[in-house]
Amino acid sequence: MLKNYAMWIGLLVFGFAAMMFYGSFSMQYYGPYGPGPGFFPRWISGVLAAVALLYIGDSIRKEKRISFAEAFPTGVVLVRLLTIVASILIFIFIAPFTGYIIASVLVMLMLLLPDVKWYTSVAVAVSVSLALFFVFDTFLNIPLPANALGW
Amino acid sequence: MNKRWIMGLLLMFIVGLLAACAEEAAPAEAEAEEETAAFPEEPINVIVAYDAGGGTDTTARTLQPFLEEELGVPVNVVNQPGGSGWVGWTNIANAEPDGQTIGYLNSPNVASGLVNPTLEREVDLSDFETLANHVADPGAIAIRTDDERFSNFEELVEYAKENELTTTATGVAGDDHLVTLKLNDRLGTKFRAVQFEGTAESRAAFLGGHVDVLVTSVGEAYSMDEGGQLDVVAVTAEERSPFLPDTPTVGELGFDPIIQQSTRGLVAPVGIDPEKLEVLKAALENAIQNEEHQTKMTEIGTQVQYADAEEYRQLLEQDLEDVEGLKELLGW
Amino acid sequence: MDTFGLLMEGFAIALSWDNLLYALIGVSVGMLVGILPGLGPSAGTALLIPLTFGMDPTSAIVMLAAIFYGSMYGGTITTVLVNVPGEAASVITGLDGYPMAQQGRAGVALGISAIGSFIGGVVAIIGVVLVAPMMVKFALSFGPPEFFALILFGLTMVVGLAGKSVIRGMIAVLIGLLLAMYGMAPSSGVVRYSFGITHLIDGFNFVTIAMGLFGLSEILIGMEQQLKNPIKPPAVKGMFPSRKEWKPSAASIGRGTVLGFFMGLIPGTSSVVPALMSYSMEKRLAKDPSRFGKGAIEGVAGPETANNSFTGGALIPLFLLGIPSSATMAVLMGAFILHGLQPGPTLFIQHSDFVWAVLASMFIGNAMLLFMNLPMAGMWAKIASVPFKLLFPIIIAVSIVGTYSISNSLWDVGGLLFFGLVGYLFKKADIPVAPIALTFILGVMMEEALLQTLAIYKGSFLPIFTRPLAGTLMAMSVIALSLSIYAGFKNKKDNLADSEA
Repeated sequence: MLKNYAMWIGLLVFGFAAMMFYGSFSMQYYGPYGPGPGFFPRWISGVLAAVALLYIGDSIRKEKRISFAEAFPTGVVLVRLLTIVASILIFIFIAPFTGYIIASVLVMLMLLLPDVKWYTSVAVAVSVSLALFFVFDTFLNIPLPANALGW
Repeated sequence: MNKRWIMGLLLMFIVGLLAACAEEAAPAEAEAEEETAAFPEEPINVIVAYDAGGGTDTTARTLQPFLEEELGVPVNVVNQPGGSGWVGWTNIANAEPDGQTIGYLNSPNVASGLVNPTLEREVDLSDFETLANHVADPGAIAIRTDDERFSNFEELVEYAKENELTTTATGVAGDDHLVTLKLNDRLGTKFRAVQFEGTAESRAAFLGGHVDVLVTSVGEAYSMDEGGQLDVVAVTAEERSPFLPDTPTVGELGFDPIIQQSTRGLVAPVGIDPEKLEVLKAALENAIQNEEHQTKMTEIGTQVQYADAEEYRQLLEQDLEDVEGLKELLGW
Repeated sequence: MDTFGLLMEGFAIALSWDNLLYALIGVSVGMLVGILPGLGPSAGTALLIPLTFGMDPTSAIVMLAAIFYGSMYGGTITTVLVNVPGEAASVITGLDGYPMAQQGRAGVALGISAIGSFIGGVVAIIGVVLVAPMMVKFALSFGPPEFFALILFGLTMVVGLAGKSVIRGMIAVLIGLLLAMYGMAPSSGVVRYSFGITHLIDGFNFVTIAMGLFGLSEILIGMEQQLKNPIKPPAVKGMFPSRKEWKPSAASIGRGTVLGFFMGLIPGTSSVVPALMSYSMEKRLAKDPSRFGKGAIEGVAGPETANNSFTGGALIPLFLLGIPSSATMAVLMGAFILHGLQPGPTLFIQHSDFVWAVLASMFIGNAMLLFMNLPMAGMWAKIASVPFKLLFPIIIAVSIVGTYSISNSLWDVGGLLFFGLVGYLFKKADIPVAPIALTFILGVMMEEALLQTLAIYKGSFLPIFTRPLAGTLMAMSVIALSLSIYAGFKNKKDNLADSEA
């Protein structure tokens, strides 16, 4: 039962709905001319909580069970998935300091290097980052994160 | 194996870069402080808290070349929409007070945000150093040309004292909404504001007869008035608008004068070196007062109304006080 | 002078060498802006307005309009090839466009979009030329009650799209609606669920949600598949539909054109509404609705056409009333004013040469896009055959810079990652993600329209049912909803039968 992934997602959705339901009580439920700001959040989250329970019930049935082992990869594949997540996080944390170009090249290298020859990786990473920088920063005048040197 | 190696190297590279940048940043700041005399040497960023293409954005981009001319450095308009303006405004207040970042405040939007009890924000009016007001757009009250119940402002007010009428508004405690609230407060009318997403929607609902009275700004209404699509019966300003010279103000018609306008002015974060502040203020005054600039603004239907830093601060405080006073009517 | 003569004069201006050149530059730049997701047509057009300073007004508007409709074509390309929708209407195109690309039919999907967009765009412009004045009344008759009924109708259609499991579909629909509750509430101005975060005062950004739920989560899923058992990218199979697909496609295009045009007349409608309606209409009319979501050509042809004729129809309120019906139209209107042309009833009289030149240039621009896109559809489709290992880092880099550009902040990049993970986890649990994105948009509009209705009619719900247009739409919603519930139960029986067998 604990290994049933679908059930956990159901609990997660239920938790989200419960949080929203709870939050809706701090808002006015009905105003002078109809539903107040709390009306829709309360009903929608309430119904969602109910549907989440139905979903949990449904997912426990034998033929609908999804075990973690079936749903999620392990080993190398998992590492690669986490690399994608990490690369975006790294971008968020280093871009304000290193500027857009370095951060973007780094992200792309992290994603390219495991599969692609290093020289191809570097070429793709640098050229795509420079091209994007040119289009957004220079052409469209949208200031991208910049380092102390201004790029 | 090889790959893990490369990843490790990459990580070290990142750490190294971070360290390098931190070191680089420090001397750069020290240098900047010595060079106040030559301010500005680097591009100035003007934060606009709304999307590219919106009213404030157009205002900023029209001023941009004239400001560049005055300052002698490039001026970038940076759009930071979101949070009903508070994303951009917070970023202005939290920017490095080195004079390189300034931005537009929109009032009364900023005032209503400050009063709205459910809006948790990190900044206050005292976090901004006012520089100058740029434009002002007075409120306009318009009726349909074929409305049989009233044909001028006096008749409208008479009718609205007896009967409930709907008016348009674009944002709770926004400039349009405040006009309706002030009318009810001072003239005893029974207007009921209906909130729309923007002027486009509110105008469509008004022209389609779904809402009785259009409350908007002169800039949004004058061309439709000229085109005979609607009839602006009064403006909520101290004097008539150059765009609608034949339309009286509420005060001129013998009513309690109702003053409500939306303004866009420039502010900087507090803590800027006073000398830099003077440079910015002087440049803005010259750019805004530039005749060529004023002609351009008139062409796009926006009224330039320069106010110096002190006057602009008073203006913002007045707006804040106004909204505070209407708190009860707003249900806050 | 009669309409035809005026239009011919317009063509004379639009066909001058420099205006042709500006139209060409415009559509090319627009395609580029559209292909790079995030920015979207409205912000993209707005940022390029400075390029037109110093140009003659007609040329300027010709170019800006070209940027605008060029970006709509461009957005389709990214959606079909890599499932990164940059705007609301593209979400619908992706439902069947992306599966087509996975089957090696990206060229066909792009080809039929180009043809559909061309027909939709051109017919809508003809509509504008012929019937503009008569349509104004229809446009204005849509008040808040009608709008509410229309949105509700749209919502029932999302429920119909939700997939095989009613429960899983409902979860997605409700989550989308709940996400719409974040930010400032209409009418009261109460800020809901901001948790003190400034970026949440206005709620979530649609583009962030769409790019995360579709683009990034697709990459995460794709990565697994590639490493487990690498599938070779499918070979590109030309760009024309097979012979038996022509007839249904043509019918979809025809229906999409009419639908989109009328929806375009209503100010304030999101382009997702016509696309969504067209999609559900096609699905309902199809002999075998189960093909939808797995690469049905009608599911691409109809919505893409509707989307473009929607844009054409939207010119009527813009030109005749000075009311922009969408954010992009508002930007276009801003450009008009910048160049000294005030949209409104007087525009046709005072600047008739300009209006007709712009309309004529739209025929030409759409033709250019067709000729650029048909041969290029094959070229673009080859992108789908770029090895995944090279393609996905590029998609991620583009998504990062795209989400960054929404508000020039890293907040939305974080949002991309968050919604990417949510999409991945949900797909693993068989919960469809498309309804989340669609009801997110509709949810905001629905609450607003309802509260407007109640504010106008002093708290009475009756007008929603008694006003003829609104009432008809409500009745249609009830029918649509009962049909999908019926279908859901029928499906369930089938499933049970399967498991018993």
